[in-house]
Amino acid sequence: MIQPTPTSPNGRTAGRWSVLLSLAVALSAGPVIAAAPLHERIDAALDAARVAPSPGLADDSSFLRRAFLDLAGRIPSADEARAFFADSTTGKRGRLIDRLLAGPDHARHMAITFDVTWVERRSDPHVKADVWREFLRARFETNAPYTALARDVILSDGADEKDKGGAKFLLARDAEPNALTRDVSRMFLGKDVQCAQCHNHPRIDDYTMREYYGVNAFLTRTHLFRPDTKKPGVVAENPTGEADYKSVFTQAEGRSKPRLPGGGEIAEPVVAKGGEYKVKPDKKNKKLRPIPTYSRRAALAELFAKGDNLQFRRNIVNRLWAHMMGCGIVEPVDFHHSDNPPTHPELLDLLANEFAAMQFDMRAFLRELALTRAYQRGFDLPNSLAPTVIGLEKRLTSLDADYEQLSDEASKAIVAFDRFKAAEEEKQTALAKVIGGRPKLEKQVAETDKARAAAKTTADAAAKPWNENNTRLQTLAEAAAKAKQAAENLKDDKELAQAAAVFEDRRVKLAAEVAKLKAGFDAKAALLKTAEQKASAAKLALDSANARAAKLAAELKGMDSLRLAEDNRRVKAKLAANFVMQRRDTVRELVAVARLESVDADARAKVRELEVAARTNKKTVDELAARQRELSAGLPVAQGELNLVLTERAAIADALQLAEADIAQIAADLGSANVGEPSKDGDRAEALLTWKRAREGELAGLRGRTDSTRAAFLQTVRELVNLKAAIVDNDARLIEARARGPKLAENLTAASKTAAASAEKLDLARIALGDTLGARFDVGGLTPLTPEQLCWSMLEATGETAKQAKAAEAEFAKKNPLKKGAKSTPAREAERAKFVEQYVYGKLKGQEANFVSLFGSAAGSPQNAFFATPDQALFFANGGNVRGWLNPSGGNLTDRLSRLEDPGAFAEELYLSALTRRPTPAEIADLKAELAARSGDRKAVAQELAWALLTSLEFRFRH
Amino acid sequence: MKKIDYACGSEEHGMARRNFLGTMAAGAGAMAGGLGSFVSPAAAEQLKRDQKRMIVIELSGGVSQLESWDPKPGTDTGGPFRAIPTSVPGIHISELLPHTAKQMHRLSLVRSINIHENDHGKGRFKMLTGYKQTPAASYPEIGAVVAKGLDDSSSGLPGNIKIYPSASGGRSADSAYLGPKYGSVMLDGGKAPANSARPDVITAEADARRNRLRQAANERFLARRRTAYTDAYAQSYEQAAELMAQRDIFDLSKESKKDQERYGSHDFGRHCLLARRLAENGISYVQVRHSNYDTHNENFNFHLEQLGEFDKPFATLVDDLADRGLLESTLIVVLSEFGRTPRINERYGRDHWGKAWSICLGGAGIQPGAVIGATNKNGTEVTDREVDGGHLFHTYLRAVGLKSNRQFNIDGRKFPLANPAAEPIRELLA
Repeated sequence: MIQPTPTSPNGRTAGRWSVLLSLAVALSAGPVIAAAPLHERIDAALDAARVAPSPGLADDSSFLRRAFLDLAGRIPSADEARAFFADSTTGKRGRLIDRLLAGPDHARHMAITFDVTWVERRSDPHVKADVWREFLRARFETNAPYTALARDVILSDGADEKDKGGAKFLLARDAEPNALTRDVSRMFLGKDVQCAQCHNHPRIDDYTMREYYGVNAFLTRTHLFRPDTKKPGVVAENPTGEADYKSVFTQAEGRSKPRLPGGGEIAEPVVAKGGEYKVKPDKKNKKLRPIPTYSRRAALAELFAKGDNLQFRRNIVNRLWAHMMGCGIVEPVDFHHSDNPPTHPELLDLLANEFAAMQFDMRAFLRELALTRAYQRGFDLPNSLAPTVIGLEKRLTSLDADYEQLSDEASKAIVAFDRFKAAEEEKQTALAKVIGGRPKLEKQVAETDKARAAAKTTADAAAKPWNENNTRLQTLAEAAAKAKQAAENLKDDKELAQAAAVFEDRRVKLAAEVAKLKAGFDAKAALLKTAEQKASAAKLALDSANARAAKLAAELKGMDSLRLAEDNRRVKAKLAANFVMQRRDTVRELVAVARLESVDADARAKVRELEVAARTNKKTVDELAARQRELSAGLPVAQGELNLVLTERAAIADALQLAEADIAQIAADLGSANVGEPSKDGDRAEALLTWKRAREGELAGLRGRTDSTRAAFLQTVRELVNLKAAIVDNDARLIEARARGPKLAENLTAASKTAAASAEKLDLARIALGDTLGARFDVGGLTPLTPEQLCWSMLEATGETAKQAKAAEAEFAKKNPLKKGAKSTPAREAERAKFVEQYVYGKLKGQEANFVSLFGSAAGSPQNAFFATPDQALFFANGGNVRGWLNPSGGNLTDRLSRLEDPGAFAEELYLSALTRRPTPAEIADLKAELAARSGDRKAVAQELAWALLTSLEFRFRH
Repeated sequence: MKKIDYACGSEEHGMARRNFLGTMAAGAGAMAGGLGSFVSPAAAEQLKRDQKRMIVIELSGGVSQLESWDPKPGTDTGGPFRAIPTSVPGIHISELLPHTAKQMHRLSLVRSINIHENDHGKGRFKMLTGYKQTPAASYPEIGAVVAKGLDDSSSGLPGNIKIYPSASGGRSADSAYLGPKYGSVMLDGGKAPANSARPDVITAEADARRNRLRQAANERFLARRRTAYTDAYAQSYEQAAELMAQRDIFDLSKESKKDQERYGSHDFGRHCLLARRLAENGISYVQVRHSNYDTHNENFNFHLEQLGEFDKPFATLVDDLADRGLLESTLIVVLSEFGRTPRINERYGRDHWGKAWSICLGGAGIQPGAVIGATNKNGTEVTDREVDGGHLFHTYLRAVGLKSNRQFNIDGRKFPLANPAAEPIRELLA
């Protein structure tokens, strides 16, 4: 039942608000909006972007089932449903949401949800699944902020035996850095950048190695520490290790410091040499886990704890939104990038910021989502779009124009960014070239320096004898000069003159040698000079290369922030264009469906028309055939009549002939007799005359009868001829009509085929439209229950949960007896609810494992994929579990049903238990018929009916 | 289902409807029979021949190439066994495989495998996916790719079946991004899939009644909203019913006593016979595991025993497939995660060895009687035509008629059928 006047669940009229708000959103009048609660702003944003007609709020039973599934992980019991339906006060939906959020089922359901999302059913020898779930459950029970949860999950190393649960995320992946990089990026940042481990993503521009290794840098030092392979491992971290990368496509290299998407590299403390460890590795004690002074993973955890990275916030609000709405604003939730834009970009950022403003309080956030009209919308598609087609086509024209303009702007922004990237790449290439050339330059410096040193040694070696001999030459020259002077002064002293000559001779010789040595030295010195020049040139080249590298690096660093701005411009322009494009495409789809509707309607009309024609023709054939039979039956009658007339006329003719002959004879006889002679002859003549007269009178009569039967004769002949003509004519018409039959049938078959084809087309188009509108939150979604939801709902519906809950209640009462006359307190009630939940979960979680093995995706792969396989159906059809649950016992569903005499009560109990709604009159009628036909077999009927509803589509899906 | 008030109810209409549902993965409506109920026997026969399939015999633990496909008698690494001639002149294999030797003209060998892995898990991954195992990536195994590539969506039977001597049953993760539909169904010890038999307490009439009630409930729901998911879920019950109806294909007692004797009464023999039965019934992929060849100790005794068990059933299987005209459409592969070291260790064992070893394969598009590649004299290195798991993966796909360089489109994302870094061994393809 659709409520006639939509009221928002907290009782305020939503209609007025939404008008105001959509206006406000359209005018971007911030302050007014800020005053409204988040759920109303969400609806306003959705209303402003809507292009399709939208169903009103879902009826109470749909809402109830949905809210229980999303917030408590199961369907409600029949009694819970009755209580909700019985409440006729305003605001009951809001109260239900609050009650569910505060209940123990909620903490359990969220623990399961986050476990499945983050660990994806991996199993590992390090952290027990139960311990991890309890870690999560406890946090959801106390409503820990998301940021704190994210921090703990990244930070926990599992070293504390008593608090190992939080380390599951890391240890389920053996703390392997690339596995962690992929999943931290996916699960906390909404970006599956896996491809970018080895190369930039070939199809997604936004996913680059730079982005991958930015996250990887936080995690690349993390590793598994498991000195004893027989025992669980823990997480450890090295003090060093860098995220270096090289593309397998382009060979471009890089190194990234830690950075989150959309952010810059983080500032890191300088760790003094020798101070790298808090706990140093000990070669003698392999079991001692080294702990670094500075942990990059801890830095990541702190960034998450702060929660100010926009992408981090977008990711979580999108996931929580998908949790409630069936799909994300960005879908798939792992692929946030500009080619997979959000359906409502501004809404996404609104949620991201508001979630931060509410201190990452998940319960409060889920509450706001549950309160939206979008969440509470019905899931029926509009019955007919044809009437709206003119309006839609107008809208299409204007959206086309908008898109053209925006896509133009986006193209420009993309070109600008590409140009920027090219410039950046050019610089990178240049830098790589400089850096690549450096070893050669360094080698040259080393070589030339070596050559210079060698030349110096050689020159020095040459200088030494030259210097020594030069000194000697000076001494000798002095001596020679002095000797010469002495010889000149003492001219007669020949001996002296001789000595002077010897000196001179020696000096000349030595001078010659010195000159030679000098020449040798000069040559070496020249070589040295060249070597020195070469060395300094090489040094200069290296220095300049270094300077150029430093300059390029600085320029690139400068471009980093520019790049972010350019990229933002590009992404923003793309988003704006995409936003319009999505709406345009939706309108196109609506128009296409509307057109298919008319094609389908025409095709059906044609079929109907041909059916009428065929029916009419068949009637004609029948009539003509009947007439033919009738006419043919008249033929012998008419023939008989004619025969009668003919017989009569023949008799008359005979009589006539006889009379004529008689008369002639009489006349002849008369001639021979004497007329008037009174004699015997006279008497005779008299008698003859009389006879003749009599005969002549008869003759006249016969002649008259001949004339009179002639008319009758002619009449019967005409009738017979007419009848024969009628038969021929009727036969012709019959043949003609019969001949029309196959043609008409053929046409009908063809038209039916055409109609079937157009119906199929329309069916498919409506399926697709449902997906499109569901993805835009314009109609309620139709999503499969998770394996856990399916399990707990089935246990609830069959009464297995209630059985265990009863035992739990008894045990709680025994453990916590209430004093006589004392009343239970709210605190005690909460305690009791918690006890019961844990008891029931403990008893039945084995069943959950069964469902997971059949309905869950493989371990380590995304768990939101839907698949329906025969083994699942076989499990329901032939498996012992379901059969056991449907066996009447201990007040379970089938037990209750088989005791209900009244079919109406039977139907209500069944439908409320299985489908959270009352049966429709048609369903009650069917059920009555089923029960009446098999009155002696009530138990079997209960089992079969319950089975049929539990395996039905309505049960399998959330809607 | 949407009520179609103009439906002519003709057979053509029913067919068109069903085809539509088939492609969409379908909705409620009458329980439809499998392939057989729509196709004439002759056409079914033709279809059977055209349909390709694959059987893998996995010699788990790592069979020794030296005691099987690439013997090196009389060398320092050769071990005690001789090489014997086969039905193909010039090809010799180990004397431990006398029956297989007689089938050699139907088979081929690849003797130049180097997978660069010596770990059971990694070797197995490389051989079954064609990719190197890395922590963050997952790839589907050959069985899932073949099952998807050759998918006959009209059948309720699983396309990917593994027969293990003992297994936990249930679904495995071997289909990765291809989705659980193509994940292998494990037949624990060769038993039929779980829950495929209707328990006695539920009569056939009761089962029909409750399914009719289920379908009635579905029709009401579908009048409001229908999606691909609703169709798929409703159809899974039809597939289940079909699987139940065809449960006999898992029942070896339906095979003749003589055949049971020919294959032998041990697990591996029975599993080979089951593989034949499944292949004959249109299952795209069957993998039979024979355990265990991880012979770090007593390599020769173990191989004598293990291959002694392997040889006859395998040869019988090849012979039977050929006899029945099925070998030309059935690829059969005998593989391991790796081979064993040429060096014989001090415990008369051989250790893990991914560097130079062999597999045997035949049927479908594989050229018979060929030998690809070679190792050196004592088997320590590949000397010719080195290949790895990726090349073999491409080759298998080509052999069953799948274009291995194509991509699957899964929810709008594209995934290559086989590792794009490798190529098929073209000279091995017929």
